[in-house]
Amino acid sequence: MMKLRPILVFLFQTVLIHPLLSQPANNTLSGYIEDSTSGERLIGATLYDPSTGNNAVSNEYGFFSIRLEGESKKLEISYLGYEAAEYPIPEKKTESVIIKLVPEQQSLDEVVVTAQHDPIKSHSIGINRISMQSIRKIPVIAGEKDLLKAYQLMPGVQGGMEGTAGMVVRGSSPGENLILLDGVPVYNANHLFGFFSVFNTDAINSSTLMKGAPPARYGGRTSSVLDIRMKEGNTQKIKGSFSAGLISARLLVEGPLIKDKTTFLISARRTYLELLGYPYFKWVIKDDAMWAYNFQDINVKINHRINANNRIYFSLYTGNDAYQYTFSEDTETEAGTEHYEEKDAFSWGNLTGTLRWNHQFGPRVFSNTTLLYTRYTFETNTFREDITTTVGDVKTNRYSMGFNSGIEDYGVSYDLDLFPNNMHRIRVGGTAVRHQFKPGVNIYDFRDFSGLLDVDSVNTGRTLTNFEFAAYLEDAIKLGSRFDLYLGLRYAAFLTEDTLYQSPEPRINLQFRFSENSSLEGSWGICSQNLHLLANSSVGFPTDQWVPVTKAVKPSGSIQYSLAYKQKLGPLINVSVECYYKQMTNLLEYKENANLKEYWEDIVVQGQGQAKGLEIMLQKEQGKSTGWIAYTLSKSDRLFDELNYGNSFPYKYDRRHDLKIVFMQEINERLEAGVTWIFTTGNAVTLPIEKVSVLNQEYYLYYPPDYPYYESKNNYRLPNYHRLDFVINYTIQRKKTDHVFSFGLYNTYMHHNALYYTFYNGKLRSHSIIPIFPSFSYTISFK
Amino acid sequence: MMVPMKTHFLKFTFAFGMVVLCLSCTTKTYDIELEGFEPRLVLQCFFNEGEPFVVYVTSTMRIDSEEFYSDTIENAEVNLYKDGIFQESLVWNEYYLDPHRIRNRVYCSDSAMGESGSTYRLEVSAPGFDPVFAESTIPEKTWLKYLYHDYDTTIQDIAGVEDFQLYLNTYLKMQNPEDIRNFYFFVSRINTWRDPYDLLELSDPRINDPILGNTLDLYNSPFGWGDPDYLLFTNEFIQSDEYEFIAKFWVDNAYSLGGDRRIYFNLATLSSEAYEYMTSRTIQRNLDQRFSEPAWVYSNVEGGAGIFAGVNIATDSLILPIYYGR
Repeated sequence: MMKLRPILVFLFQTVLIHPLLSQPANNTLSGYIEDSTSGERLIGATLYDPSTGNNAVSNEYGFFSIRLEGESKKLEISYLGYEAAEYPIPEKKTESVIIKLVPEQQSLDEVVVTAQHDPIKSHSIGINRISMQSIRKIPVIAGEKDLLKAYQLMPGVQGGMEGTAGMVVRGSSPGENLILLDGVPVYNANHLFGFFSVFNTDAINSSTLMKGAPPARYGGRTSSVLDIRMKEGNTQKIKGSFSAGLISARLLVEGPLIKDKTTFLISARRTYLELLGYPYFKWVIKDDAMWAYNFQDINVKINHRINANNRIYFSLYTGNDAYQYTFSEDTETEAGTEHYEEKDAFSWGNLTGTLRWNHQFGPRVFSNTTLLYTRYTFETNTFREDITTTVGDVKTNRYSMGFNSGIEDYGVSYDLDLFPNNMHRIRVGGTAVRHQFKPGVNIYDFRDFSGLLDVDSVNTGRTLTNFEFAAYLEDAIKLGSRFDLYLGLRYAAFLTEDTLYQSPEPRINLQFRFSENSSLEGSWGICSQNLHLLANSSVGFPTDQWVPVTKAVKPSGSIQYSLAYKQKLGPLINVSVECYYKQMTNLLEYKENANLKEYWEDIVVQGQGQAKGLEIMLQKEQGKSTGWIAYTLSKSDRLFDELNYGNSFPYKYDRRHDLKIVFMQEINERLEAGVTWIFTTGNAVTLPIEKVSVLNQEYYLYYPPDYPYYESKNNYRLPNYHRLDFVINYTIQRKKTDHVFSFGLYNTYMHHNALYYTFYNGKLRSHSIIPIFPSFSYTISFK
Repeated sequence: MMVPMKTHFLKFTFAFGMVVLCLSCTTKTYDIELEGFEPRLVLQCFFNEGEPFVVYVTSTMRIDSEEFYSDTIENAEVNLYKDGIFQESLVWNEYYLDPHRIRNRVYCSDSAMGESGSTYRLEVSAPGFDPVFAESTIPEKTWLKYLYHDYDTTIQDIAGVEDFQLYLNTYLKMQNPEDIRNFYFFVSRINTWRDPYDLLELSDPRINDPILGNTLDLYNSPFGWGDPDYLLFTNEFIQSDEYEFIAKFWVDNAYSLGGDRRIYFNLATLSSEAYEYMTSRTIQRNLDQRFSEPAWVYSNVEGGAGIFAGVNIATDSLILPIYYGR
């Protein structure tokens, strides 16, 4: 690959770039779209030439390029959460321009036309975006604004269990979603056992969820892509904000380091649950035990503009969760002293970093080179020690067990964005990543002073190093004013041990516009995945392991077909009806009755799956009243030769009906409110409806006299899930500061939605830990 | 300013009520819909070399039944085949197992005895049930020998009182047919000669063996706290044709019971069906219900439930030796 790369670069430059650079550029307008107040680059903003019908979309760095005809006079620019703008076309078009959009809330005009994402003008099948302004108004548990929970309110997207931040997209498992933070995969996006996601919304610029076959530049997962881009830092002045809620506090500072050259952003978040836990244990429970839990995130971003054509970015994210329980006790006896100590600890965390270089070859060629690093680690330790000290003798009983696992990636990628004319937009690029998997290391230290037990060992699961390569080519083609065609091809290869897995992945999308207000769009695509998330429970626990494909474990794949009809109902409301069918191959599951102490490769099985569904969404994105109604009718099945007697069974998150209503209202300049209501069919779980009694002693096994008999997997449907949440934000604006007070209620009418279930004596018991959850937070922003 | 006592009381009552209300809805019990439940036949039989076939025929019960045991089905037709050839119809039998007067209601073979290497098939039908069948093979016996023993003693300090602890190490040797993948079940028990059915006096062997495993494995397993007093293992990692291991017993209790006591060592060579069944029952017993996937108990009974599996049991024993070192 190293030898090939210069050749490929040479080919790109000679075959693709050189012809573009040699063309006259005076009929092309290119540049960047920015936020007028902060200078943040706006990703996915739409530019529309009303005189010709041509349009363009800004890329991941806010860059756009549009070819203009002789009659072009102005461009209409729109972006979700910003006022729609018109940009008069300058006579001299050769220079890169910067177009600034005004955020929606900055407007003083009562009747303001703000932009909304226009699904008719560009490919939008299977794509959802939520503006950061909307996320602020969506009620969430404990008042923690949460990106993943906001996306759980979209059609075709569901959460895992109650309160958790995992995403189930179109009947696939959470491990089949690619979550990118500034282009780097985040392997575990959960804090606090999944109740919160790791993304600090203060530091996020934009996000896009792709549920269908994504563009060819994305790969490595079979279900969806969530592309999250961090803010770059305010280019105008140093600003900041501080927020404190029930369980955590957040701080954000951003601004220019060198005027018009370099900006920075630092944001941090930390919980203070242990501060609440300490007095509770000390004075309420009056126990010597100490319990502590916290999680924290730090985001850092620095970007430096070298000149008009070159810019570099450095972004870093680190976050971790840590739990510790300790107890110790010293007892004096006649014979001596006895010291007893207990410790339970676990921690997990992500570290991601990217260094990117943007280079603009001219008005029609944009390139990006990325060096990336990501690491996820999980560690747990249980320790019990009993030391008895007598005259001349010390006896120790010890029980210590540890487990750790993780994954670490280094990689490089190169992307070219080409705008040869208004008919084509070409992207081409490639990536190479070195993965190192540590599927699990067990550390034991057992001592029994009687000598019955003496184990001191380290059982290391094999560390696997693999290499992943991918190259892609995609072309968004305009076929007249009504048809848009997207063609993409990705070639992915994965080298594991001495086996090379290769996967060509074509992606096609065709959009037909009936009029300015309606369109029909279809897509088809193949995706592959060279690593699996092994989960032994339905909750997104950090103990879930990432494991690679091996000689025995094959890559999973998906083929997805989608069809969408979109209609504008007047200028404010969009309706979309979308259906999909997805086939999944080589899915990975634990065997029935797997002994989790065995090596993971020996206790897994692979099988097939299929998912189909209909998604309907009615959305209003602008005005004082905004929100959406999203309904999904879906079915998701699995078929494994070695599970459920070889018969098909429903996926555990197969939910036939899923309805979400989100309503946000600006009551006046100071007061805004948000309400969400969620209804979904209960999960499919495996429950016995009959039992077998055992009459003989069965060779002296002390088993219970009966045991449950399972007829089939996931045979029982749990009660439906529903809840109502609301939040009220009250803002006080001062000359130099803004103060926002938020009050919210999660599960307002206290419906019992279970976190987990137990089954005892023929009775199903569901256990909920958040029957109702009030929240309060205060945020101060410095202008 | 003094706040009236009544106001304090009302505030406290309101706050307390809210807390109780919140907490009271954290657990909820549902009745499972059992519409369409139709009981199916259950067979239970482990058959051994040189012993008659004894089969329990019952039926599955509703999961919410408060009964532990379902009634034995008396009017079933139970046919036994050996290597594809009909042997006999098993006969309904009822007897009491001394000394606990446990009533056994079973189907027994009249003349057929289990033979090593033979495959047996059982076909059972009964009015009101779908017919079922199952088959399994008796594996070759793997012998087990008691070799010798020694002692470990410790003085344990329990709440300031010195307590003498006595442990018996028994050295055992088992045969290993290297070219056959075998499944094993080891158990030991201490009985008096007068009371051969004293099943309650099971010993608790502790085995910590690098190849066979550890009877304490389950004790420390992610499945939670278990009470394992047996060992299920395979010969996958035994490299030689014989293998020696140690079973350790805490024997103070046995001495205090008095009488002539004998330690029996049973090594059952299991058919794959028996091994799957015992393994799955062990996992199912130790399951953490909250976050685990449910454990399915293995069954080889087509159309029904339960187990019909061949085993071949080797036994050796020693009389509990008298300890003179105390």
